[in-house]
Amino acid sequence: MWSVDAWVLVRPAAAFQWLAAQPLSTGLRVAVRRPLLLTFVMGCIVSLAAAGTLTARLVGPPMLYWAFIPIAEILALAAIVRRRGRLPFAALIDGFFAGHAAWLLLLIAIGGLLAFSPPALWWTILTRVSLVGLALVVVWSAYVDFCFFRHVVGAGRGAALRDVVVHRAITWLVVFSIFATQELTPWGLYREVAEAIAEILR
Amino acid sequence: MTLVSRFLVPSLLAGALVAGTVMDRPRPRVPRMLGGYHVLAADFHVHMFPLGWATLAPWDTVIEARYQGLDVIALTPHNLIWPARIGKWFSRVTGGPMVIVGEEIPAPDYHLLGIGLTERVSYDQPLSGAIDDVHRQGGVAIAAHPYENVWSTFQGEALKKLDAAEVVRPEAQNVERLGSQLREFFSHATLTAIGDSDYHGLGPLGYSRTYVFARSVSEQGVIDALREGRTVVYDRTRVYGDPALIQLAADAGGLPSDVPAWPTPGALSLFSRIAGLLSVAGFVLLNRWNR
Repeated sequence: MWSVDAWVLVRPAAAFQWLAAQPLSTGLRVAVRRPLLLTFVMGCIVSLAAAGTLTARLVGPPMLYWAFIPIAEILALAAIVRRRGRLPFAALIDGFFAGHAAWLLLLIAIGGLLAFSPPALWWTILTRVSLVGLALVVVWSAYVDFCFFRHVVGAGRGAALRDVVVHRAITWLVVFSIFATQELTPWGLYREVAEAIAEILR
Repeated sequence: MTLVSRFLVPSLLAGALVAGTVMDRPRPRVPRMLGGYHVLAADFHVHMFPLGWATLAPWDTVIEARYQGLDVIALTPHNLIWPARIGKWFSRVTGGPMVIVGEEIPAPDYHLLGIGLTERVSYDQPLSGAIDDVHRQGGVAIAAHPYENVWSTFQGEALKKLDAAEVVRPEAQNVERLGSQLREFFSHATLTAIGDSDYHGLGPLGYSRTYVFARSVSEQGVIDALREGRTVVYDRTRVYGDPALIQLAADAGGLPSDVPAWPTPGALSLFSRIAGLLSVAGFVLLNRWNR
């Protein structure tokens, strides 16, 4: 009944073991379907947050420029698995993005809260509810990614843990530097994070 | 389940997109003249993607300003101005609202909006120096979200040089503690009243806005009006700005002062929201990939 994405969300180890044992799906369609789903959901959430509805003018264009997130994730994945030719890269991309359900549901929940709530509640939604949700998703999705590297890529425990850390370091740095700041120095990053925290505590 | 994932979910999504797109119409821009002035609806604190903690690119932000019935926006990226230039170019070639290039200068102990800039102003200097740099370029300097944590910076010579301050902002319209801080700061000096949304792509652009009384519909006309205090700003219960212009507006029946309705009203909007959320969740949880 449920998608593989949903299964990975609740039982990542079992779901990824099953996925790794299936006949391989390859090709461009397989490689892009889940990254496209991510960008599509992002376009929808941008539209819901900005206009309160799904409107074509605010779903389509943001899908294009927010595609930098899955692209960064795919490049980081390529950097990590390039010497481990166990599976075709299309299948690896598809499997990795099957582990994104927690992120997607968080985005959908935030978009729904913003679209349905009066503006008086937005600050609380963004700086309290969303951050609690974000913390939970960061932790759980790290375990999901660990299971992916362990059971799909075939890494040992230590290597899988390192893969998760390296993938997040690369991806998050790229995403943060494009989304938030042009100052890619430690001081610049510190300043942006400190400013964001001060804003939340205001 | 195949029926649901293959037909119902895509149909819901298509319906949500059609309904949302059909009801998404720009508010009419109403040319207003009062007392010989062009009255322009403006938002002077607008951020964009990338590098600005915002969701919409410069071109989509300009289109959004048009949909919200704004005549003027100042694009104010953090610590840089090139995204604002892109927005200005896009608006010029598409006949959009007036776009003024600006910058939010984000120093640790103050945030300052420089409006009407030709080059970036560094945040790595005292407030007084940043205001001077803005003035040297012919721009105006606006205190951004001057809550009590930065009042110690906005003192003495710097406060005298300051042109304007945000006195109405979205969060301050909804949290009385914040609203009273902005009012108290505004009462400390003779400053042009500004209502800004500090837009980051969430909710309506121009949720808080400034009515500018300009002698001409031009960037210089707007800058001159800001420098000379010719603005009127409304919150839910109060009005700020030049008393003569407030009276002028009141005599003419007042200017639109209601905040945009949110959640957006109407059955189509409600359907678009519900169907949109259900369908994207359906794509995630019910897709048949790998099966």
